[in-house]
Amino acid sequence: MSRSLDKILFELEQVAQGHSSGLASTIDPRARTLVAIIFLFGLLSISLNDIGRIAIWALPLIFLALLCRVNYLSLLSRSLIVLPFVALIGLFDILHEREVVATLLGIRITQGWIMALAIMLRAIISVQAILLLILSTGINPICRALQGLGLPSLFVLQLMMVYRFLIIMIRQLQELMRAADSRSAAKSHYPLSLWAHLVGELLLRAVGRAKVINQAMKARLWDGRVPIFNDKSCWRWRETIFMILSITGIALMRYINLK
Amino acid sequence: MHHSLEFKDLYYRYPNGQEALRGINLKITHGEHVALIGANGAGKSTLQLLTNGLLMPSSGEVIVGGVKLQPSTLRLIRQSVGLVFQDADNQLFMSTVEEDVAFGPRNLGLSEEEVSGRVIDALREVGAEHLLSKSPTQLSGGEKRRIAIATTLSMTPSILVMDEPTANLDPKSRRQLITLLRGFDHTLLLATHDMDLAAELCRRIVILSQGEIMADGSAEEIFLNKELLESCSLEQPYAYR
Repeated sequence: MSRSLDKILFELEQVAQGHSSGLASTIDPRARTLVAIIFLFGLLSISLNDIGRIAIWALPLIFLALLCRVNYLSLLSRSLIVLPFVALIGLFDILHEREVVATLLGIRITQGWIMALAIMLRAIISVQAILLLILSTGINPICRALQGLGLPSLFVLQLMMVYRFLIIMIRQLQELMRAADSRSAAKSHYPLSLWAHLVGELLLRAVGRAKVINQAMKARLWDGRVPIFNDKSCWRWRETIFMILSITGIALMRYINLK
Repeated sequence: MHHSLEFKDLYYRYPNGQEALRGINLKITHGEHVALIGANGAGKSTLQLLTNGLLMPSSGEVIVGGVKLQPSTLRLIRQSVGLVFQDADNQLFMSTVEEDVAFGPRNLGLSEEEVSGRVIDALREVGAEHLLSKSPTQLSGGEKRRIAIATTLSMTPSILVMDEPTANLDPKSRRQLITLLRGFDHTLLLATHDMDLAAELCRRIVILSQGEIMADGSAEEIFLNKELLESCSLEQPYAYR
């Protein structure tokens, strides 16, 4: 457990700054963030009945992952984490839409099944798009980009601090786990009651930490209205061309029907 | 604003009614380096939080540079008193060192040009210019402590209040920090259990015990009084043994 927390911490710290190289990393984070948002809007606007057209939206992600030198398979495996949650949403469609639309090898496929699959596919592709943006750009540059795109500072600050706080809390959990491991007589599993204590302790520490961090902010005159980033990036022709090409591609995928 | 710090008949009670400070009377004058020593729970950290207005007195007065601490003077006082927390992780909450050091000056409403100047000056003062673009999560304990100090120096405070500055530092980082603090001409209030640090940096020592000042005197006077130190659960620094 402690080792997997180490891995999570390492990845979170890496992601904070963004670690990709490649052609796409030379594009301003604002352009990348904007394209990701447009991509998501385009994907989410496709009808759930059109599962084939939804699947096509994974192709540009594979291409972009290559350009950003991000391993698409790891992107895929990470995005599957959301599958159980969206499957629950899809379940309602399976129960509700029972009209048979096709028969495959004697199995009757209902409209509900098609829609449930479309929901899952769309969720996975959306998560992949967000992950690709985060992995190739980094949380901090994305926060700067969001502020540059007009998102109020307070929301950007919240986003950034949640991320920072997450790292601090995982460190706390790691300390708790190490303390428990050191006295566990090499047991590989803990009883549920111990987990309850650990979670409770973690919550108490989270409140304590939040209080002290808030004091540290107030000690430096924070009043909730801070221009948090000094954005030094500049918009060049490169970004404009990237935007035009990306939006054209998204529009083609959205409006052209190959049927 | 001059750089004195004064507590007049100060009392502080926690919300549960427990009395943390009882009748504190203390005046620290311009440029003085004072060590506040005492056992755990003596009230050192509470007293430090009161200097910056993060806690308000239950009764009595805190006067910073002749200005009494009250809600209307909070901004002025927080600008004058730089508070360095015990755990640097609590003090560093922004995504990069640069943003963290710039946090205070931006709250002062300075222009971006002035903010950049303050950031560079503060980092130069603590010898950490090369860490400018790093994330606080990537720093060592000693580096984090330096940056935590820089975050307050960038607000050009007249008084520095530090809580256990050498806690969890390795000997080399501790020595570097002591060298750094020696060079400061700020009024300095240092809460510490590190008797050797107190002996090296401060000429005046204040012992706090159960919320009250037990002794206030020169380092020689206090550190040579073994009986007094033992009665307050403290021990003599090596230099005085």
